[in-house]
Amino acid sequence: MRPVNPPLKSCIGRSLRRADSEAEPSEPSTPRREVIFREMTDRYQRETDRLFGKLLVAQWLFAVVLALVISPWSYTGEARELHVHVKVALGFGALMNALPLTLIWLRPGWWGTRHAIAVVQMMWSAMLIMISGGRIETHFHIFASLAFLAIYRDWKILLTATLVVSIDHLARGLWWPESVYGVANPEWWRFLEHASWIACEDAVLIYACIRGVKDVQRAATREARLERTNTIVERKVADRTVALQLAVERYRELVEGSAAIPFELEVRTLRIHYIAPQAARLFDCSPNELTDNLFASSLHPDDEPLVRSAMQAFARGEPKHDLIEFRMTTSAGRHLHARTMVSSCLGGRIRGIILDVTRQKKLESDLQQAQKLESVGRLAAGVAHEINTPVQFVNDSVQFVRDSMTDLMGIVQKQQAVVAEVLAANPSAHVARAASDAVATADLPYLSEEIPRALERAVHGLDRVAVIVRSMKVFAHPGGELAEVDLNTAIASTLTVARHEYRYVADVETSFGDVPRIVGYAGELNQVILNVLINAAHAIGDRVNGSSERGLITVSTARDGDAVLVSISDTGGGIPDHVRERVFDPFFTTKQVGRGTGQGLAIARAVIVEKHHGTLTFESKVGVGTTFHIRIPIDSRVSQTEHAA
Amino acid sequence: MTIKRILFVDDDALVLAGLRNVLYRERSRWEMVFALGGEAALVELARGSFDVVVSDMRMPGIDGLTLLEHVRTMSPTTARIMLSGSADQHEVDRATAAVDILLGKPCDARTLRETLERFTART
Repeated sequence: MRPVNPPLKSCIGRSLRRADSEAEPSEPSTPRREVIFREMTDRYQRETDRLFGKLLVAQWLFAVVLALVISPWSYTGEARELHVHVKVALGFGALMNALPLTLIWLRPGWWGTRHAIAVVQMMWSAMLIMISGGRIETHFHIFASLAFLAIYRDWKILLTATLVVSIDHLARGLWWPESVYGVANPEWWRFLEHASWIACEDAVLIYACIRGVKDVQRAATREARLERTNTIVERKVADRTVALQLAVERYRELVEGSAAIPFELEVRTLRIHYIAPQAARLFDCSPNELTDNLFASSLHPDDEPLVRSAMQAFARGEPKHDLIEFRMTTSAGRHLHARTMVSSCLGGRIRGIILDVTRQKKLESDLQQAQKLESVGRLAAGVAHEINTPVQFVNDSVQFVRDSMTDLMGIVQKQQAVVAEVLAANPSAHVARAASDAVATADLPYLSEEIPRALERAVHGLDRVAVIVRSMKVFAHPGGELAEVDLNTAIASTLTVARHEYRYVADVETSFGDVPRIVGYAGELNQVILNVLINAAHAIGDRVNGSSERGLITVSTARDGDAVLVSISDTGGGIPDHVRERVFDPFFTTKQVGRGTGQGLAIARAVIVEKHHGTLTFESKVGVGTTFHIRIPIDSRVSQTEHAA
Repeated sequence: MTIKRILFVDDDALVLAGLRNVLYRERSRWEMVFALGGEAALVELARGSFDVVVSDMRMPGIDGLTLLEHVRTMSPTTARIMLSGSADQHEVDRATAAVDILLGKPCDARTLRETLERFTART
């Protein structure tokens, strides 16, 4: 058969696998890669914009300084003024820089911004060439600027820049060649030479730009993949965390919801190091009242040495001492049977579980009781027959002797008269003398008085044997049919029958409730009530013995759910603690020999518990009295079916 | 008044002796025959007729029930009394159907005498 609950480990394993299948690996989505690429490019180009911002300002300052150093003044006669170059550098430079700087400030990263920067940067080259009077070395500024612009990794701005340079060279080469080439009449191929240099650099830089963009794209892809991996890992971690929490929770539920209570104790002192919170139920306290000495203080004093020695033996490495049973009393005064199963011992601390086995113990004892009764029943059937036969003929013989004795004594008396007559006539008649002497020796008056009494005692004794055997038969054969029984009537008639048992020692008070008829075995129920009544009468009799006191027997009936409760109380001496557990044992009696057979309550229990599926319990206080509670289901067949179901 | 004939059957001689003792005083009105066991009883039954047969139940060989069944067949007017110490309900039920009355052992002399009087008066 498949176990209802799979083992915990496999549960967790399965839930983890499920988490795995949910986190299916997938390629990084293309849009995400592009988003990252765009972000990276944008960030980079903004940075580059700022870099160019600084560069433009620096160039402007450099141009002004250069203009001031090379040709600060222009003279018109005596009057001198700042050379036009200085003015151009100062004014036109500021004017040129205005647009790109504004764009860098307002629209950083925008494509228009960097094209504007490219245009202005190249214009700076043109201006510096112009200011330097077309020095060929100043043309290197163009190459440096192009290289700088390539930082953008946007080859399009290189084209824009090239276009600006070309227009500038072409225009100025035509109308003002000195400002470009430093000579008034440059060779016709001069422009082409410059242009080819530029083209060469452009080719290299464009290639570098494209390479750079590809690098960024690869970086973006890596980034996207990393992101995805992180997401997966995070999700996995989250899943695992949830699974772990579930597992922990399940463990907790298992451990803390279980009737088996895990604990850790100090072997030497029996102090609790750990005990699961459900122990509160066992100890009748709240979980925060589980103090470390609770175990030791709840132990039954008689069992404490046993628990200690067993735990110490286990701690010494004797594994057969792993199962320890003992009694406990909770702070609420509840008595219970507990069992510990210790599993490990480390550093003087013993670990295991503790179980409340009170119910199990009760069932075991009930079962034992039932088995005892069953064997007694089997025995009784055989014994009853074996005893009845000799009782029959012993009884017959005794009665015969008793009856015959009457005849015999009559004969003896008549013969006595004859002997007396003979002796009166002839005192020396020695046969008559001998007869007279024999009568005197045997003490005839004593015999004539005691022999009938002795026989009477024998008959009485045999009666008693017959009673015992008859009561044993109740075990042996149930007899009778299930029928509706009016318990009130049954009790009333039993009280009448048992009157001679209690009339001299007790009064009886009855309190009959309005109870329904029950389905049961009338004869046996009568027997039960009779037995309990006789016990009550005996208990009172023992107490009031020899005094003029009288006790009280109270009999009441009441409905109790789907059952009828019969309570019979006496004001006898109560049942002493040490015999309580044996009250229902067959052949157990505290009564004097001859007064009780020790079967009354055993029979009562068999009848109520086994045949009527009811309960027979008692409460007793020494010196106050005892109350027996007989609880009989209204229809035991119904409750029997329920038991079976 | 005719003398009634009563047959007592038991496998235990002591029981028979006890019965003989206790009913000794009735010897003038009842002729009592004591058979030790079922086989002996059949011999007695073949020898003469009885007004009442009192038999034990459990006997080796022919048991009480078989014997009384036989009596019912052979002599329907004979009263059949079972005197048994058995506590077996099943046996008791079977016996009850086969006999006129079932007396439990131990049965005191007065009950036995009264029962016998009742059944001898009937026939």
